Amino acid sequence: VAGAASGAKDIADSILHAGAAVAQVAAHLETAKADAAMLDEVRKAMVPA
Amino acid sequence: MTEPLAPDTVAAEPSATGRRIGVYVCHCGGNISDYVDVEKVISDIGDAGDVVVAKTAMFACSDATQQDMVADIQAQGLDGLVVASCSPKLHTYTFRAVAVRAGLNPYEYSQVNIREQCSWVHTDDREAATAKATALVNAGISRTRLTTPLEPMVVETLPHTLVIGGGVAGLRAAVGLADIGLRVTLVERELQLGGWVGGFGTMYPHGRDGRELIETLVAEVRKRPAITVLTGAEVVGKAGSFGNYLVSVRIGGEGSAALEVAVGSIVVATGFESYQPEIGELGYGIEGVVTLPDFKAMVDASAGGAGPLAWHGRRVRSLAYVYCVGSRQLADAPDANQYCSRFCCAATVQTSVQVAGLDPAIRQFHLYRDMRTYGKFEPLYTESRKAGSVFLKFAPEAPPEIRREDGGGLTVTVHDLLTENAELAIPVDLVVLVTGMIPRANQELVDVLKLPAGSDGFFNEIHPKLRPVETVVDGVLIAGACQGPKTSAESVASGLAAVTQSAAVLKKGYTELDPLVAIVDPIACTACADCLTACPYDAISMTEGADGHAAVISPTGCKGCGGCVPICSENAIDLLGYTDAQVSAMIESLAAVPA
Repeated sequence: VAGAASGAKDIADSILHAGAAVAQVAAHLETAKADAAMLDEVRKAMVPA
Repeated sequence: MTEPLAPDTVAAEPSATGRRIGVYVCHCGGNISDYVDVEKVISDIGDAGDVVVAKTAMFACSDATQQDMVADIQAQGLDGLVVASCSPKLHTYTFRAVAVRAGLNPYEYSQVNIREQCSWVHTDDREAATAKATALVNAGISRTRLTTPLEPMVVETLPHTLVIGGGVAGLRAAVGLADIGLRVTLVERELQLGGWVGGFGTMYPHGRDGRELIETLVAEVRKRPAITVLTGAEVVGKAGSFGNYLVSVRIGGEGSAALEVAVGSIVVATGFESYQPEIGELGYGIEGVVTLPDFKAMVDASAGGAGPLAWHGRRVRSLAYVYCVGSRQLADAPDANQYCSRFCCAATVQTSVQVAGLDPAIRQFHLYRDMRTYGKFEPLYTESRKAGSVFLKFAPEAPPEIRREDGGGLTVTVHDLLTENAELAIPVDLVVLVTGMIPRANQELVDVLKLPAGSDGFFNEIHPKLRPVETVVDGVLIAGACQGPKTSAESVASGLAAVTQSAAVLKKGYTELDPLVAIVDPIACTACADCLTACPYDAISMTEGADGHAAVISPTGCKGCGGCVPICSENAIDLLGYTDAQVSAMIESLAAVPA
């Protein structure tokens, strides 16, 4: 959750909170991307050439 | 919404100046046209035969007008665009984008401000306001006649961020940066990570220790090989520019060797200092008068098993908190801290709840000005009152008086606004001054990074709402309480917001810089070096070329401020986009007497 949805906040704090949420989503996507790449590697390794 | 009030004038080819310019004058829905006759502005344009399109628009920034501009630029083969509307701060990028969409170089466009600098300030004289708007538009046309296409500089950025400060904001930022795939160097001046929170006991609302919280964060930092931690380290130098900074870090104090770190961006999270009262200020210096951090340490020690709450061996059975010490100071005091420190009301009521938990018989008096346990802290205030704390409200101009009696005890005298300003003399064993946050003294770092500070001494963001962690120095971000008083949760949020801003630039791998920079004519330059000291960004240096010594300006270091241009006695420096020729032409247009 970001901004006043997570509790009473002024505008400045809401904006900071939104920025914080982006950082955490980006971290999650980075992990997901790395996992997908790893899965790809595994699949390639499993398929006989 | 476009109203082609004046018939489009199509000049005979080729025009006298060889240019084909489009001019758009905005009504701004009445903001401009109520005070300026925009149709007259169009008809009075000083046309040298090169103004191919001249129109008014209800809202120049509207999608419809933007599409109209694109169509005109393409159909009429325009090579210059003038938009007369509001401040360039609002829509420079909007109209540059219009130019790009139409296939016109964005630097062939000029913004003319006839709202903030004309209609809004001349609401009493329509005729003169119209004449001034016309002169401003003519100046914009004169500038545009001399524009040349410019290309933004593309600079590769290093996927590496320097975090300065290992408190809760800096630590969380470091973890966040590593988690999005950036390398991090974390610099902490102290030998230990953790900052203020690292010294805290139980924190609201989860009841976890600050120490524990920091231990968890530090463990997360250690888990990530992308983070390098340097403790006992200080930033002593910075070279290079946005995306490619070279930072010198000195480890081990004065005289030690410095290490160079190449980074793309810098997150400053240097935190705050606790206000230190003057001797005599609200009894400070009297035996038994302590600050909030001192008292919190006592409470944490007692809660940790160090025995009952005691001061110099004597049990504390009653105490008084005096709020707003060093915060919300009255404006007439010299160097007054007029801001509210945000955290202290909540921290104090939370401490009082802890004290009640240690020994419910301890009598606690809170002498406050206004309770600001905002948002989720309000239940703490209720809990504190339920636990027996007594709240007394004093007027800012009548602070409590504290003295030590001959018999040994402390007496706090206060006029309580809640009981008809009755004077109360409260005997207590201990007085706690609720001290706020002040900016950390960090002049060396301010000088190295050229960090902007506000009148309150905290670092300044570009815009508190729109760009809350960016500073005017590209790639240098601020997070946590170095920007202004914050709770630990707010510091963490701003630390993560700084992660997002860093990522926005560094993850792309490159950044585009405005080409509106100063350039040197090496033939005219006599290498007098006068310009070197004129540059606030250290972007100018001397080099030896085939034709001898000359100044060179780093296009990535230059911010286009123009400070060096008038310094040069040989007129060897010109500012792209605002060349001497362009500025002279604009002045001539402005000075021209209307026919």
